[in-house]
Amino acid sequence: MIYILTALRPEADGLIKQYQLKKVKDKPFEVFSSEKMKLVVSGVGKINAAAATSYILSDSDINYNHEDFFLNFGICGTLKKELTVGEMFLCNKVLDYETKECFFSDILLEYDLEEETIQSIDHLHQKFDFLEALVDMEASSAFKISSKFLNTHQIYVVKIVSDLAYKKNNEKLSKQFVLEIVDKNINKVVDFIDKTVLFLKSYQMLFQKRDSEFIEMLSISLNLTFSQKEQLKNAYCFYKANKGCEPSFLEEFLIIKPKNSKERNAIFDQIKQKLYS
Amino acid sequence: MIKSNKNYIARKFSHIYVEKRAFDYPITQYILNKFSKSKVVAIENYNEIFSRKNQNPYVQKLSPSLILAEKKEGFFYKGSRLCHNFQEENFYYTNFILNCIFECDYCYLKGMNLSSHIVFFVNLEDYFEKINILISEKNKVYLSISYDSDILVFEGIYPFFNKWYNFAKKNQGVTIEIRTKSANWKKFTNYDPISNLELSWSISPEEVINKFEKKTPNLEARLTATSNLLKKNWKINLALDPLIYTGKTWRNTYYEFLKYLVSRINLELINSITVGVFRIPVNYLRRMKRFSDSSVVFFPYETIENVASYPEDIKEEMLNFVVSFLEEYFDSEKIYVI
Ligand code: SF4
Repeated sequence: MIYILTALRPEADGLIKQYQLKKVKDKPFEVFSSEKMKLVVSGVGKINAAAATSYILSDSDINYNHEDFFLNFGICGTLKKELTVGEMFLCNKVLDYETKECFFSDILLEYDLEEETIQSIDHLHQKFDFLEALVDMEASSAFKISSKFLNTHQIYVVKIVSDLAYKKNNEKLSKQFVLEIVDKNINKVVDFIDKTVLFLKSYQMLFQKRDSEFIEMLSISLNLTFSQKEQLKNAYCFYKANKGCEPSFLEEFLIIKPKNSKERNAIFDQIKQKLYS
Repeated sequence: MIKSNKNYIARKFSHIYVEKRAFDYPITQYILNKFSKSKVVAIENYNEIFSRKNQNPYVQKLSPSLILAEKKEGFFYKGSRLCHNFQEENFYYTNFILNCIFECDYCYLKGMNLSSHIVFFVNLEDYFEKINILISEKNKVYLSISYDSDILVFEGIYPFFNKWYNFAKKNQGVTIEIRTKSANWKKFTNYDPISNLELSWSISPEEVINKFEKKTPNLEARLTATSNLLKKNWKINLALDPLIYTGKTWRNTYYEFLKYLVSRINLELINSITVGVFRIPVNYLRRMKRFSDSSVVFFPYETIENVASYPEDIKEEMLNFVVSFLEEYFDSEKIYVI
């Protein structure tokens, strides 16, 4: 599943259209989704972003979410004079301005995107130092919360410069303007998403959800103890790693019902021996 | 299990994270010049990257980043009980590089470190200073410098060897050991061998290399390196460590390997041989099981005092077999069994 967070609706519209997302929730956050994507509109600020991140990621299966990734997408200000409005960046460092905590995506792929660093602050109206190249109000908290669900190569921040924040004039941006700058970059965002999806799909853990379900089933059926179940899991992984396939012969043990613990232990030893041989 | 389309994987060290304090060191500047296309990101402390809890060290191996940092404390450590100390009382190790670009499935680094990104501590002069103090306190120190890495594989990035060679040459009180699986022997021909610098080559049967020591030079290349350097009078140790149980055929695998070894290398010229079966702190092994897809990680090891290793009968049999073979060709006094 691809999880996307934007702060504002105009930042999301381009993706909603591109991926034909349907609105599935209005409260507490607007959520749009398809079979493979969930997009949440958090509202402005770190607290909103943290809450919305937690809200959409809570249905990610934490033990088997290796194909999932999270993207905080939206607009930001630039604190660097060399950068211009409309340019899009993949953020390779996210600094929380208030706590000074830093977050880093593991960028393992060649993307067709320039990279910059970003600082997330509580209020744009306050006096603040220019510590990084870009500034926004959500990335750090979205990153922090998504880190509880996903690994560092599954969390990204992509931002489009919408204003020259170093001038500190805090102009209000029109909805139309945001739609336009997102629209100009939409192909690159799609390319970024596609590449990441493809990569994560190609990375498969040895022990998958279906393996875990099978072990569970077999353990119940043979009435295995907790320790035997753990040993079975290890032996199952050994077999799979060694032979490159699942031990299909185990299926025939599903219909066996041991009469007592002695019989169970004997069957268990037999299974282990087969898996390790 | 990674079957990625390699075309879009970022090249190794596409990102270099540099501690702000580390920027001024000549090594940092040298490396950044060498990797002018890499993205350089300034950080406060290397642990911001290295010690993040939610990393997948196996995926990171596809495109590791480089971290340049300044070491502040812990310039050397007393040798671990899991490693042999060559009967040296003052056996220490130092780790100015963390992690490795080889991919041995059994390597404890993936269990010990939360990250597979490579760290270079760039203040080598501070290491030398602190180690000098240690030498003056102890008189004689045996120092393993390729401990949490295989440092020779990074020579193309920075000539670390040169620095340590010069240090050893100036300090007779230290004996430096560099353990490696690399095959780059030619670079040593630029140097004269010195008595207080030992090279230890880790060797394994080809079957073990193919299956469990990914991206490492093959046996032939390692033996070529060893024999060429022996001819040039370098002090060479061999490490048949870890011995890996390859199933019922292990005896044959190791017999062929040992036969080949003695046919290729004049063991009389070897300084010492270490033999040990695979062993690992059980908490490292537990972490490796979360990500690994290698059978070596899932073998039913036995745990004694928090160290997982082969059951006693397999361990004894393997050690006896290998050691008795070697004793036919090599002074048993110089065989160290772990
Ligand atoms: S060469 Fe040594 S340090 Fe490198 S991966 Fe293999 S065992 Fe680990």
